[in-house]
Amino acid sequence: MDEIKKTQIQLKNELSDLAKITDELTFFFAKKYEFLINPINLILEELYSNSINYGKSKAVQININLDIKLNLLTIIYEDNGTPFNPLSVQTNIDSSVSVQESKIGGLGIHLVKNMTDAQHYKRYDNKNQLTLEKKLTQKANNHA
Amino acid sequence: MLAVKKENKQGVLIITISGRLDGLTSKQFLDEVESMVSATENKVILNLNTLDYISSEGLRSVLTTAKKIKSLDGKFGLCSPLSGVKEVLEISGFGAMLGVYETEELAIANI
Repeated sequence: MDEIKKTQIQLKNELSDLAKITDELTFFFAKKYEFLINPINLILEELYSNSINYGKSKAVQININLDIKLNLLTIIYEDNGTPFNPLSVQTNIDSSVSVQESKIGGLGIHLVKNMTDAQHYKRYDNKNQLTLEKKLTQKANNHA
Repeated sequence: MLAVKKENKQGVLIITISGRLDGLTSKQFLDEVESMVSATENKVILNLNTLDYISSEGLRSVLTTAKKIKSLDGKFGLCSPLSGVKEVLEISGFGAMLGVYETEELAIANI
């Protein structure tokens, strides 16, 4: 039997949200999937920052579902903010320019795209829904 | 949680940060580093060997620090990142932009 693990995290734009993400992931990924705690924490922090910065809603509600099945981690990230597809953000990452000239744009979403294997956005039911997939291969283990 | 400490080695200010550099701690980092660097303390290495986690907000605060040190005609570099932080530095391009050295000794010799 392949192991199936699921959890849900709900956030409401409170100061404690980032700490809550870390606590929930530490619990969910404990032991066997420990190598995923920091990478997934990073992905969720970046998406969370986007929701708070672009959501334009006083009562932001964020719902995150995590699911591990057949060596595939699926993250479904939803918020109730104004329509916004984070995958459409232009990333402006150019390490060839000097430090003084550099202007960093879309850094968070650049990290999210590069640390997952598939990304899909849809707007439904007045929510933004982003689905991310990450293969749990031996290579992923090295990312611990 | 983030801890920031400094020491001077061969005329270079070594700032070691421990814990997490993210949306919760980046302001603390900037405040503490701001108080450590000056026109006379402008050769700075950020030692990352006890940094467990960095997010884009953390990366931005490191870039802000690098810019400040450049504006003081100083030198700046990073050293000894753990594998997770190293990966984020690589993906973001920040490692190539700011300079990452494998050890503190190499950083002191090369910045």
